[in-house]
Amino acid sequence: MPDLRPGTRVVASPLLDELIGDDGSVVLVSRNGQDSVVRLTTLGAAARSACEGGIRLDALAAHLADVFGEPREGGILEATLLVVQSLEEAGLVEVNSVTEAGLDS
Amino acid sequence: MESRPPTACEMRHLAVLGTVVAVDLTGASASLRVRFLEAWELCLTSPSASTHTPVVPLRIERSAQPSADSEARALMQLTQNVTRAAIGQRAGGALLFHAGAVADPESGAALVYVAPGGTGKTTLTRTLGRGRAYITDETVAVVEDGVIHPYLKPLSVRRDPFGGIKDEMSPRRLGLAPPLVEPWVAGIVVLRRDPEESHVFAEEVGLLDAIALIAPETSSLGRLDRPLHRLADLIEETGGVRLVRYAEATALLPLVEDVLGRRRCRT
Repeated sequence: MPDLRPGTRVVASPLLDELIGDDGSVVLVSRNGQDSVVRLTTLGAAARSACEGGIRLDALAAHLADVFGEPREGGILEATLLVVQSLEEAGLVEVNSVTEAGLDS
Repeated sequence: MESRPPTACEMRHLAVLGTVVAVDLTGASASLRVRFLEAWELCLTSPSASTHTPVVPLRIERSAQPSADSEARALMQLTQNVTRAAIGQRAGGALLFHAGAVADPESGAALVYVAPGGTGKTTLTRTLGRGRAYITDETVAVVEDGVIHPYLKPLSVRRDPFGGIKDEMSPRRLGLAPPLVEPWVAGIVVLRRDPEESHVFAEEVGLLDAIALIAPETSSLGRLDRPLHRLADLIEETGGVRLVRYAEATALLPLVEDVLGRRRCRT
């Protein structure tokens, strides 16, 4: 279960290839020595792209709210967390738990 | 599998997927050799100049008593090992699909039908390949311009009842002929067999979804340069991918006729 706190950093994993289309993207990623192809929606592709180089969860949430608007139900942070969880399960991002020292970074 | 320089008389060489694999017949009985030569007759070739020709043995397991069944198992194992060796040779050089393919004998236009193992590609190939050119029932290698490097392997035919043995049957014996011209990809379909279907259902699949659908049925995709782009180019050049649900192989004949009737557009 990824860290829920806003200061959690999310970093995109390197891709072997990416193909972007009007309705999202498809990416090739190597995970534990196995290559897998993952289909991403427009939202998933935008979220993964925003994580290139690393981003705080709250900053990612703000970015997604700017691009796609607020979710109809629930908070933007919780919605963003669900997206991040899916990306993490697919091996497309790494979630680095926030440290006390890193809370304000 | 070993990799060593092939020596003359105990080796036979197979042209498969655009590469050469050597089969070491040392210790194989006369009857096993005869069965091997018949089954693989469409692939037999001269030794490759390459020093990296993989070598696979044709051997009956030491614990097994010589019999028709143990020979069948040895030939079945050989087919798997040849496929593995050839894929290893072509990794990073060709798009490799778990698919069967048949072609128009004169134009080379080929239908590539992508499907997971054990879902009837061999049965389909036996039905669709009659009167057309046999390309493979197992693995399709595609290089630049959509050119296919055939894999004219024996067809691995399940016994009925199955009992774990497949017979490696010569394509010619099953009435299948090799291509006379260079085959090329004229169409790609992803097959899903459903015995309950009363009709053939063909559904166009968008490019990104098509790639996600086909990718699990490829080998060594990550070894290619920009593999998703290469796959996308092939799909777009061949008019897109259709997901086809069917019950009986014969129901696909109109689809085959349609795709094999296409003519190549070179720019």
